[in-house]
Amino acid sequence: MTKQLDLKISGMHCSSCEKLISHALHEIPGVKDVVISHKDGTGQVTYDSSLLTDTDAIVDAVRKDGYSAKITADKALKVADVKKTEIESVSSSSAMSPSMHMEKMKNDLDPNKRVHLSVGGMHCASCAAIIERSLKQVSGVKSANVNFAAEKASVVFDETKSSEKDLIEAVKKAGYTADLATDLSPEMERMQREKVISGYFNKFLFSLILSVPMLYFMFFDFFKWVPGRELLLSYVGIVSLILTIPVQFYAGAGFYKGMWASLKMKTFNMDSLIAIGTSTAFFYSIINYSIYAITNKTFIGLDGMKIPELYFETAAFLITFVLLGKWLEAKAKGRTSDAIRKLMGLQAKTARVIRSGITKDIPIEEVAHGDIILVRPGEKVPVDGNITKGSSSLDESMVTGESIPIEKNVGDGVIGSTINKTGTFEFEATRVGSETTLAQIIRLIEEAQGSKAPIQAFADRISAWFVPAVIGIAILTFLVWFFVLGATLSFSLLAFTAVIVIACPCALGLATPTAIMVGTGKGAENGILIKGGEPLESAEKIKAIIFDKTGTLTNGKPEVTDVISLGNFDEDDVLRISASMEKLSEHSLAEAIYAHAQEEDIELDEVLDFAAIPGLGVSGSIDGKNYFFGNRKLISDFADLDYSKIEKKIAKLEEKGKTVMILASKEEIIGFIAVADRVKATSKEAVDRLKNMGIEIYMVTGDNARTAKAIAAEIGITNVLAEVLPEDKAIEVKKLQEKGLRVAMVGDGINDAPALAQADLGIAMGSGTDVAMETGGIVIIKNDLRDVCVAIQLARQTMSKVRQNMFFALFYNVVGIPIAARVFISFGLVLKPELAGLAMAMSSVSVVTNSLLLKYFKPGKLNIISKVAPIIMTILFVTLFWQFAVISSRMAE
Amino acid sequence: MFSYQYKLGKLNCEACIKLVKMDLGTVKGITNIDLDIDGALELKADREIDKSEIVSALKDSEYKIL
Repeated sequence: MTKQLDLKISGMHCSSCEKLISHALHEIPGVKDVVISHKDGTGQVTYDSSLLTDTDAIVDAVRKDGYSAKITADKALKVADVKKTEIESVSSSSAMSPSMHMEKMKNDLDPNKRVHLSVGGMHCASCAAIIERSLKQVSGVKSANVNFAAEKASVVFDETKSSEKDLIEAVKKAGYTADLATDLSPEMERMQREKVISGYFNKFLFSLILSVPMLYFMFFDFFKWVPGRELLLSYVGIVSLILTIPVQFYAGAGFYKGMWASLKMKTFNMDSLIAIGTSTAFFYSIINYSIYAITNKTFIGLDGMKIPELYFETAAFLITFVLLGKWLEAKAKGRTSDAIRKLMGLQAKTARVIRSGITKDIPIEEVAHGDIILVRPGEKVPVDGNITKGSSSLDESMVTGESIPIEKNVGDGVIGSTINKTGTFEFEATRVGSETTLAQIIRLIEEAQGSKAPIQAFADRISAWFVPAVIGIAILTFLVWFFVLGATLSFSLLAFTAVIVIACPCALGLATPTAIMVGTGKGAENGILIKGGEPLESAEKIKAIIFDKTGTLTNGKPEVTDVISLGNFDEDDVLRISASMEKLSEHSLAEAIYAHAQEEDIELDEVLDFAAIPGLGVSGSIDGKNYFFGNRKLISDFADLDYSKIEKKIAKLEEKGKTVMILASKEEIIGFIAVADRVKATSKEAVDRLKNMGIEIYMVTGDNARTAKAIAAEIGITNVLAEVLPEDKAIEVKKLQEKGLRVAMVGDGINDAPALAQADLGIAMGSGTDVAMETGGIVIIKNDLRDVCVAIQLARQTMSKVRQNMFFALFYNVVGIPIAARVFISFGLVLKPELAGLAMAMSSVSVVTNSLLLKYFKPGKLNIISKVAPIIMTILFVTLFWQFAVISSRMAE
Repeated sequence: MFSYQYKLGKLNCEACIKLVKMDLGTVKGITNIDLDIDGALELKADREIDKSEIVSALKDSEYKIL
C-alpha cells in the first residue's frame, strides 16, 4: 500500500539541506517520493508500506544528516493522489510543468507491454474465447491469449492507449473476474482455486440432495412394489417442482450467466447448450403442470395418479451431473499447474545481508545489486550471484534438474532457490527480483502454458462452428420427430434436449492446453524449458538435427596438445609469438593458446596493428615484423606462402581430431600449434539414442573437414558440414529444410541465434542462468546432450496425449449425437438427457485425467501407465455409454 | 600526489558543504576534499586533474568555481 509520511524537520537553512535530506531518504528501500521544504520546515515522504515497515528509519536518516525530525502524520494515499503527488514533485524539483511531465510519462509508456491476468469464472473453452474477444476489443490491444486450463490471460497492448485497469474492466464486463497475475501470491492463487473447487462441490452436493428424492420417484415408474408408491404418486409433480426450482435457478444459475455473457458477444457457448437443455425440460414441464392444474383445479395428481408429461427430474439431474463433471474437472485442472506452483514455492523469503559490517535478515524484496549475502549450511540461496568468500556444494536439482550437488568456490556463480549443502559462504548479489534464474524460468513457463499450439487452432475452429451446428442439429431432430415422424411433443423435446447436451464440446477446449501444461511442467522438472505449444509440436515432427560442434558436442574448452617449431625458431618462440597475438583475440582457440603460454611462463610481446580475420586467423606486428597465425587459407592468401611441405604433418594431427594453426612471417613458416577440444562424455550416447529414434544427425563446424570428420567419427556422426563460417550456419539449416526435412538446430543460444531461429526448432544448450537470453523454442539448462533426447521424447508423448484427448473429446459427440437423436431407437438405443449430461461430463474428466498421466513421464523410460490407461478408459467409457443408452431405452418404454 | 586550490562562492551551511563534496567525489582520482563555509576548496588527487573536470562535476550544483 502507498502511504504518505508527514514530517516536521528543523535545522534546515537552504535548498542544499533539502537536497541532502532528499538524497538520504531516497536511499531507503520502499521510499517512492520525497518533498522537502526548508522554508516550511516540513517534509512529505511517499512510500510503499510493504517494503518499508519501520518509519523510524526515515527519522533516523534525517537525524544522521544533522537535522531533527518528527512524524506528524502517516496516512494511506489513494491512487489519484499518488499520481498527483508524483507529478507535482517531479514538476517542482525539475522545473517541469505538469503537462510536460504527463508527456514525459507518456513517452515512458511501453507500446508493447505484456501483462498476465488471472481470470476467474470460466466454465469452458468458449468462455475463454469470449474473454479473448472482449480483450481484443479494448483499444491498443495487439494480442490476447486466454488459457482456460491455466485460468490465465496473456495480453500484449499499447500502454499509451489503454491500461491494465481497462483490460480488467473488459473481462469484468464480459461477466468474469480478473486480477493482475503479479498481484496474486501463490498462496492467494491456491485459495482462489480452492474456492472455485469447493464452490462446484457445494453446488453439486446441494443439487444431489434435492435430486435424490426424484430418483426415488423414478422407481415408481418401474416397480409397483416400491414402498410409499401409492401414497406419494399423486404428489410427485408438486414435490419435483419444489425441489427442482432451487436446482434450476440457484445451482444452475452459472449456466444462465455464461449464456448471457456469450449472447452479449453475439455468440453461443457451451453454457448456452446446458442452459437451453435444462430450460427446455424445466419450462416444458412447467407449462404441462400449469395446464393440468388449471384444467383440473388441483396441484396434485387426480385419482392417486402421477401428473403426466413432467420432466423436472431431467432438468435437475442434468444440472447435478454437469456440476459433478465441473467439480472433477476443476480438481484435476488444479493439478496441471503443479509445476509452476512448485517453482514459485522454491523462492526464499528472506536473505541474510552484510551491510556496513552488520549482518541482518531482510525480506528478499529488499536485496539490492551488490549486497553481500551470507548463506549457512542447509539454507536456501536467496538470489543469483557470485561467491566472494568460502566454498560449498549446492543442490541445484530444483532449478536445473541436475541431481548431483555442484562444488562451488570463490568466483563461481550461484543460483537463487538452490540449497546450500555443506559449507558457509558469502556471495555478491548480481541478479535480484524478476532478473533471477528462477523468475526467468517461471516467466518462461507461464508464457509457454499461456501460448497456443497450432493444433489448438484446429480445436478452436471446430469449437467455433460446433455449438451453433449442435443447436441446428437439435432443432432439426425436433422438427423431424414432431412434424415428419409424428412423435409426441415430449418425445421430440427430449430428443432435442439430449442432442443439445451430448454434443457439448467442453472437452475439446481442454484437450490441448491440459496436455501442454503438464508436458511443459514435466520438462521444467527435468531442466528442459519448452517455450510453448508450437515448439512442442515442432519437436515431435523433427526428422533431422544439426549439432554445432564447439561447446555443444565438445566441451568448448580446447587445450594445446602440440607445439612444433621450424627453422631457426624454437617452441618457446612459436608459443610466444602466437600467444601474444591471440591474447587480443576472443576466439576459444585463442584462449587455449594464451592459457598454455601462461602455464609455460612465457613472457609475451607487445603486438601492433592487430587484426582478426573471421574464419581464417589473426595478424599483427611484433618489433616491426609482421606475423600471421591461422589456418591454411590465411597462410596462402595473406602471407602468400606455400605450406605444402608441412601438409603431411598437419594432416596427421587433423586425423586425430585436432585443429592446427600455422604461424608464419612474411618470409617463412615458423611453426604450428595443435589444439584439441575434447568430445563431451554424453555426446555419443545422445547421438546413438537420437538415431534410434529415427532422426538424421548432422554436425556443423568452422573446422577443416579432416578435423571435423575425425571428431564426428568419434561421436558416430557421418553427416559433416565443415568449414562453415559462423554467419553461414543458418544457410546450412535452410539447405536441409529445402530437402523437405523438419530440422532442429542444437547450439549456443546466443552465438548461434540466427541458425537457431532459422531452424524449425532451435534448442539452446547449457544456458545455465541466462535462460531469458536464449534464442530457441527449447532451452536446456544442463550441459547434457542427452536432454535433447529427453526433450524430443517428452514432446512426442505430449502430442500423443493431445491426439488421445481430441479423440476422447470428439468420440462421445460423434457417437452420442445419433443415439441422442433417437436414430437407433428401433435397436433399443436411446439417450435420456440427464444421462447424456453425465456422459458429457465424463468426457471432460477423461481428457484432464489423461493429460495428468504425463506426470509419470521418466526420461528414457516407457510411460506404461500413460500408454495403457487411455485404452482402459476408452473401453470403460464405451461400456458405460452403452449401458446409459440401454438404461435410457428401458426408461423410455 | 597532486594538489589543487579553488575558491567557490560563500556556502550557506554544512549541507551545502556536504553536497559539494558529494559532487566532487564523483571525479576519479580525487583522494581528499577540504572545503570551508567561505568556499575555500583544496583538493588532493593521485593524478593530474583538469579544471574542466571540476567545473563539470559542479555543473548541477549552486556553487561554481569563481
